[in-house]
Amino acid sequence: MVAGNPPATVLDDEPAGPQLSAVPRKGALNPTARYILRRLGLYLITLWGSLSASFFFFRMLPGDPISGIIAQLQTRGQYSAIEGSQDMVEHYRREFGLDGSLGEQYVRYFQNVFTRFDFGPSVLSYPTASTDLILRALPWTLVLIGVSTLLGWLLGILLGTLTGWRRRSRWAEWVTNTALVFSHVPSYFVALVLIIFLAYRFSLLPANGAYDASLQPEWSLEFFLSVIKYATLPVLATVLVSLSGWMLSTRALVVSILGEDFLTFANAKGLTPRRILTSYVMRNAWLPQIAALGMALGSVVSGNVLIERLFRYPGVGNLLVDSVVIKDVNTAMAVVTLLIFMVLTINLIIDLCLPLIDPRVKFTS
Amino acid sequence: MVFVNLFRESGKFRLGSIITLLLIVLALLHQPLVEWRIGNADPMKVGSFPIFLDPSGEHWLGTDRFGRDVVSLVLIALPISLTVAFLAGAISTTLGVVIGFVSGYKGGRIDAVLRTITDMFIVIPTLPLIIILAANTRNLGSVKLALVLAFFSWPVAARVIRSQVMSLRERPYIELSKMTNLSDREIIFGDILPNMAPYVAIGFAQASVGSAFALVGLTVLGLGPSSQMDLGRIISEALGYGVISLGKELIFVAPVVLLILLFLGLALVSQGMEEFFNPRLRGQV
Amino acid sequence: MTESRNHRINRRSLIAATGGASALALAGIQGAGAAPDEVAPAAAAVAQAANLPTPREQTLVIESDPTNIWDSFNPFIPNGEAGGFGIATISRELLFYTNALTGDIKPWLGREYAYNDDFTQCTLTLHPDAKWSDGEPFTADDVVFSQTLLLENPALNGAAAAIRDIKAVSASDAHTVVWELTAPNARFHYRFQSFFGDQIKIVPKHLWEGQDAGTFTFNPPVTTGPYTLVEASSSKLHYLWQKNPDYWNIAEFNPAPEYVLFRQMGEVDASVQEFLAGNVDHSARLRADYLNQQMIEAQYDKTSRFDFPDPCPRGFHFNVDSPSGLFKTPEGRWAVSHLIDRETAASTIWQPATRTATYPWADYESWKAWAPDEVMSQFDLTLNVDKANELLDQLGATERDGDTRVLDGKPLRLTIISPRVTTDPEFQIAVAFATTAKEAGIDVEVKSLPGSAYGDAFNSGQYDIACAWICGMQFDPYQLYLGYHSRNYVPVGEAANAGNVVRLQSAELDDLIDQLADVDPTAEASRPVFDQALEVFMRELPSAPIIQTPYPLLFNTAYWTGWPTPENPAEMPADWLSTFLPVLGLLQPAGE
Repeated sequence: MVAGNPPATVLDDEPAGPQLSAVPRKGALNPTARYILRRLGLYLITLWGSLSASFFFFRMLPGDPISGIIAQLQTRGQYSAIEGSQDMVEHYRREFGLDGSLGEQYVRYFQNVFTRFDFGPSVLSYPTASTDLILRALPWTLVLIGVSTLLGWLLGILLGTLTGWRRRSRWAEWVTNTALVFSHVPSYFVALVLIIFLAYRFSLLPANGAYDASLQPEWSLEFFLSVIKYATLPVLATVLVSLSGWMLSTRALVVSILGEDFLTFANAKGLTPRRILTSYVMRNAWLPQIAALGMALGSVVSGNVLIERLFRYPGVGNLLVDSVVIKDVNTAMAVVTLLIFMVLTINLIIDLCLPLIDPRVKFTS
Repeated sequence: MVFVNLFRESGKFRLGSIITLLLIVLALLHQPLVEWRIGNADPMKVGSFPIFLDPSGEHWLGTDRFGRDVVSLVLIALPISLTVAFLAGAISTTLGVVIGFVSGYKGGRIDAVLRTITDMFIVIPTLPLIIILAANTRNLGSVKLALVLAFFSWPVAARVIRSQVMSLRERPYIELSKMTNLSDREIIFGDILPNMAPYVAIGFAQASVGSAFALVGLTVLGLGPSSQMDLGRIISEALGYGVISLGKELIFVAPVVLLILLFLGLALVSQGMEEFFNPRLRGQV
Repeated sequence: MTESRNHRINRRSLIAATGGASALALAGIQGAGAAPDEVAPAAAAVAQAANLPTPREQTLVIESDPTNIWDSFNPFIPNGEAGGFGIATISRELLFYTNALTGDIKPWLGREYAYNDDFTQCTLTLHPDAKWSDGEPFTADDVVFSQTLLLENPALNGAAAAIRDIKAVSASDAHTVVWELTAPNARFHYRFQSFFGDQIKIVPKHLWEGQDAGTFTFNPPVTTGPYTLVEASSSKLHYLWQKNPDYWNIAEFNPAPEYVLFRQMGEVDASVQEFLAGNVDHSARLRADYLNQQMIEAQYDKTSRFDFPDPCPRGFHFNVDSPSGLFKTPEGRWAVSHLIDRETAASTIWQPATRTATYPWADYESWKAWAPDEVMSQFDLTLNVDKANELLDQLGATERDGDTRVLDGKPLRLTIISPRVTTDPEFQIAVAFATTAKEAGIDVEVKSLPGSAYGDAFNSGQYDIACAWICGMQFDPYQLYLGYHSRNYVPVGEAANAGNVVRLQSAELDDLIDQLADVDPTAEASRPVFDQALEVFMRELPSAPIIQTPYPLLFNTAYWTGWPTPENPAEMPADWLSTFLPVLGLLQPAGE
């Protein structure tokens, strides 16, 4: 589930979130407040856990990042024009927050992050703060991920509902089987084919960068259209794959709902098929997919790294790979932290909102 | 017996297992096949043939930038990709079974903690972490790579196992065993485990797909082990040569097709089994 | 098991779908393979030409290797500037411009230099008319300030060398700088004339004074050069420079391009497509991609190519302290050298085909005299498996564990690290070596290490062989040998920051290096010492040269003509060297 595919089937599991408050307890708080508090607490624990884990993960990587940096300077551009020194090593060890014991580093690091939103300077572009590098790249990634995820999800559940509803027709079968194949193709491969065709062979769409170099980022129609033009291929590659996954899982839900007893009653009551579709099937099949969307975000973000790389899109995925290669611990960790934070927060929001729109999901168990 | 039924009943499982088995057979036979194609030469040897030959009877997919027969390269790369994917699948399934089991069987607080961790691993983007770990692992080879991948793909298996254990635990005969004061061990090994086999297989298939996906992500970025050839590396190298402009795309078509077949085969196997063993899903797709 | 009555998968249609998708992909791919013949450059250009910020005919477009630096121009800190995007190559000027191909040295910001009798003092005169791009005069104070920064801040790039060599620096008048040296040094002026990078980096005192040189970003940069920065955009991934109408030297040097754009691309194929569309004048990404260059040359008639010989030959560095024990004697290093198939490396692996390397520097005409035949003819740098086997037997590695020789009780297994990706020739040279080494009973594993992982492994001695480049020589071989002096020896596990990464300890070579330090390299009398040093170096062979390395540089002549040619190498056209600026002076608009 790493390279950008949402789960193709929903596992035999309860919808995530609401059931976490399974154990009812005595207390003055009403169930809703208790649920929200619990969910918030869980969110904070998960956040703290994953951030700490990634901190230690980075600090325990083998090799000394500082001597690596100095050595790389020496070999950079192939010509050894720079001689490193112990002074340099010590200076930069301090600068990058790598001096002192692991515990000290941990406390200092999170103090800086939480009080000043400061992840330390980057190595990639010293002395620019790694936060600056990320904030600069983040809007592009948000555009790419946001648009492609939502588009894939919407188209997927629409098509899934249709093919589930008309599951016996020839075309639905075809679409389903095509989707079955597509849902297991990494979006990277799809992107390659798209590039060959649309960018190189027919020169229809650009395959490099985020917008036309003659424009300035501003709120103008021209700039906006240019961004869309440059995002088309990467978005298309992601959407083709993710829509297949969503389509299959929605279809499965729709089919199972169509077999449920209450639909038989509805039929018996003489409701029109159209009414059954809109008021029962859609509602019951679509809502679980909202929770599933949150769960799939992590893999979307992962898959996006490869896509950004391929299209040299100026987003955080590219930044991440570049920082990993030169062992820019601060930047790589800030990117990972930010991605984790984003994904967890969106999941929190979904979990908190879901009961408001889905009457079946209650705040209490 | 069950698997015979499964094979007969589920078209998905049938197709998926045939595809997967074919790939495995191809991988197992790579040595004689390579010999048949290029004799005793080392497929990785630089300059064995002229560079960038067009496909011919001799070299079905031509040769690459360093004069290596592409068919032989693909043949030696396939077993490595499969080994890493399956090894990672096996390791993460083992991890997943243990964690899923403890979580599902013990329930309560332990379950809550383990489940939170599992969900966390599923929700967070793991490819960045895999990239970082792989790029910084000394002497990265198949086994270490499989460990790295497994470390991030066990939650998939753990979830499958946990939900199954949860449902088994509530079944009457287990309740009966509990009431007759059988020990946890006896219940686990006597009653639950035998019923788990299909779910372990499902978990294995899913974890293998996940690992293979991550493996491809890693190697197309050029961050896999550089001492061995795998399918992702052939793709990454071909792009590095600029084969699209040179009109030599065939070099990466074969590995792409094989990888897609691998993903598809394993996914069909796991879906087929899920539908077969899981009454709630049966007949849905 | 009951047969489900609901829709079940229909295997035939699934196979059809799979087949259909694959066929589609294949058709597209093969179609694209045929495409380049059909897509006229002009047609492609129409579709993509808009992707430039300035008029094409006024702009020189250069594609550089990727960077992440967009807002800092500090040359004294690691990754403080994106040198390849203009700041170091066309904006910050040098004191002198050296053309190593011809041996010409052009005075620029500097006019002349002189030593005192015992080479403990060096005096440099500056061009009196030079000005910073903000109009302030460029004076000796700026040079003194920039050099003093290094002396006072040991953590800055280049500080270690400055502190080692310079006792004091002062301005004797507005245009004269005087260096007092720590020891007699007849080579101090090399740093004025270096073409590897500007070794004397001069920044304007009026803007840097009072700043913390360790963190100052110097944005926007103020330089003396003819181009000033218009924009550096992290989302467009380019640096745009425009000609400064008030450039101090414009009467003498007035390059034709009004704008110079440095930008970066994704995959190699993207670079090729851009070149074919006429959108780029030179691409660093295609430097190592000779085959695509040939393809471009066949389709796009307005090109000019220069196979630029890199100053550094490719070769193996042997870790003398390698745990294998093989390299602790010259015999072991020579045994490995005899297992390198230099001919194949030169003819097949490196493209375009090149020459094998015997001495550890480039075969420039002006450098050949440093490697006289009398010395070099003693050494046999050819593939000779028998000789290698003989040497290995002599070392006592006669027993075998399977096919692998055993040395000192351990099977002979070597790890070769390379800083280059697996598709690069440097990596493949090592792979090819692994095949021949196997025949001699040595088991070799080749690894490509990304960026700093290589730096870390190389510096701390965690390798047996490093397959990379042999650099150092610029004006005389002493510069190279200095990197092998045992005073910089550190054991494996510690970072060899000051040099001697191969961990050689040769008293004989040390002694000769010390002697060379005191001689005047231009004096004829010093030649025997140089020859002796080369002989010892080759005998010890801490690094084994393999091939000379021509980089094919392809230039687009549709918009700019006058690029240097191999017949007339008026300037070194290498866009990654700090000597790129004079090349711009040669260019003329194609005038369509």
